[in-house]
Amino acid sequence: MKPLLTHNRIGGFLLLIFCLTYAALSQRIPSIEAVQSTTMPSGMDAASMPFFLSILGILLSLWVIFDRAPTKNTQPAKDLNWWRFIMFLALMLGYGWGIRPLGFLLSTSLFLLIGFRILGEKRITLLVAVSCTIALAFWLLMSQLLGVHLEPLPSILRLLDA
Amino acid sequence: MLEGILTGLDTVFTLQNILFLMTGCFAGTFIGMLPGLGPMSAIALMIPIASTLEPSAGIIMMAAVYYGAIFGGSTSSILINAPGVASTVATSFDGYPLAQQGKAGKALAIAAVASFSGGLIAALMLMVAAPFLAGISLSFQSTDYFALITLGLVCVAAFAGSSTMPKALLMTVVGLMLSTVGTDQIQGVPRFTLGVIDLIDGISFLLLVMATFALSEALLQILKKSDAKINNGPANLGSMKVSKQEAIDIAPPIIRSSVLGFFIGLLPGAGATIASFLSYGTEQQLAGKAKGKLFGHGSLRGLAAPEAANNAAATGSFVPLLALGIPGSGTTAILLGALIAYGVQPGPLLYINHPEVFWGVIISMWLGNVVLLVINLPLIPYIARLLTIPSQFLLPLILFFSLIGVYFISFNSFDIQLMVLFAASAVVLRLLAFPMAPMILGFILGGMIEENLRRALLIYDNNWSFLWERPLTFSILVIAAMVLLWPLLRTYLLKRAQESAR
Repeated sequence: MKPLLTHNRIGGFLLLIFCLTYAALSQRIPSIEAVQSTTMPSGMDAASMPFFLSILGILLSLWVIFDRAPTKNTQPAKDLNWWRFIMFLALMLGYGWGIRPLGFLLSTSLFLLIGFRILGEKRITLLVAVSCTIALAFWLLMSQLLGVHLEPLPSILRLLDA
Repeated sequence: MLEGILTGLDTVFTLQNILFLMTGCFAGTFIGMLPGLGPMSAIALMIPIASTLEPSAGIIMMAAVYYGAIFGGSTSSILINAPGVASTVATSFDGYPLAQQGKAGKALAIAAVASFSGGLIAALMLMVAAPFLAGISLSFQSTDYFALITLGLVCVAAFAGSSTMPKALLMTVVGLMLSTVGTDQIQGVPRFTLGVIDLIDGISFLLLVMATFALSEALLQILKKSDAKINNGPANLGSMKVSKQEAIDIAPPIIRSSVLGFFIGLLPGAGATIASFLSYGTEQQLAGKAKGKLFGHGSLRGLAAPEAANNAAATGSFVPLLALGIPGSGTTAILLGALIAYGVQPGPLLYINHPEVFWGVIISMWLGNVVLLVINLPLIPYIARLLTIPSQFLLPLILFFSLIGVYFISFNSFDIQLMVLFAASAVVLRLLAFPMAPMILGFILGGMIEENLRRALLIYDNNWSFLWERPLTFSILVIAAMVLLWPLLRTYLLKRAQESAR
């Protein structure tokens, strides 16, 4: 007896939800009559392709869900360290929020330091030395060699500077 | 053509471009050696740097990263039996046994020479094929392009194998869907932007590639609980010398596999992986009984053939990219995205408008292969040592390079958040064994297919008859339909044969 929840079915179901959401959102696209500015009448308007893709996506998701072809379950989910994964997602989001207010050097050093720490590096001096050196070296490489300007310092210091 | 070659030589042989080429080869080799990071991640990671260069220099560097990554992938296949990419799996069949027999040096040398020859022979064929195809494709209309892109999308899914085909097709459609986000090109109305200003220009292709490949690969390794010790490979590589008899023995397989690899590389969706496996199988058949038995136990022919073929196929895949502007693989799709970001539209007009890019890339492949052979090969033992960077340092660094690479282009922290969202989704889908390459191809070709279809409808007065009335369009679409239906038909026929046998 085949298990009901195979990897294919879970994936197919998730993508079916995505396709249904896409289809629902595609209803918000104004049709050709609503957009009077079009000078060139065409058989296709901005909503045609999304409409077609919605149908195709939903049909294909159903195909994947109801496909009777044998599937392999490659990775048992219990061997995975989800906690570490979620911490890294949070760390990356934090980096995105912090990069402007904290400046490149501080935010990058912190990002690397915490990342190394989560993955098990415990020696504090090594953590600080490696993360700060990489952040500084990378900033020098980008700003001096490639001419890409990145604000190095926190915005508070920049205000004081001004 | 001679004029073109001269233009190419002129473009490539400047100190600056040679330096970028060498940087690309080196970076590609290094990234390709890291487990899990293949050519797609390697190119994506280098785009932010390449985007600061002028088009020809940038694209020369990225092409160098591409074949450097394939070369690096074979190094890790041979030394530690951990192919960085699918296209070098066949290399490990005989390369790793050789390394275990203490002949790692010889295996690396043969792999390098075979890649070099494959790349060289294929670059020669590219020089003839690309301008020829570009010449023909000047007469192509929007309708034909629509059909060609459809064929490309269908092929990628079909070559994924019959059991994964529905998933690959679905992922292609997801890619097409993501490509519709942003302001519509013709009517100027926003689509799927959810009122977010940052989405008005659509999703950046670099962001999507970086999130679904480099970032999700690093996250997958973080997710895996077992901190497996990285196998550092043999301490002593042994001699790199290849005897005259051995050279004579591997020459015919190399030439055959190069030609085979090139033609397979031309096909959309086939690419280096299929080329390497096919050439391995072919050579095993051709080797005869006695030598064929050696395959899998350290046969030099079995090592040389897939190496020549995968590099030749990588070169061959540039033909549809350069001549038609239609990528046949995920990797060339990324290169296409990079070219478009430069404002260079590949296709028949590239040959006319930007001959320095067109010929520069082709000539740079010759030089790039020499660089790989002469500079990278002696450096391999040292590059291999870089692999010993502990993973607790390496993984956060890969994440950092991916995030900052995208941030550099837009300076918008919204992009980082969007990347995290895509990367997390990609990790889940990859754990469920859904392929990512078809999605990237769908995403990059999505805009093109919509534009060409609209233009075709305009030309034909909103009449869909062009699909069957224009012979070229019709033929390409028929081929696409056959490619799509064949795996299904084959499964059905096999099933019936099995049932009737019972």
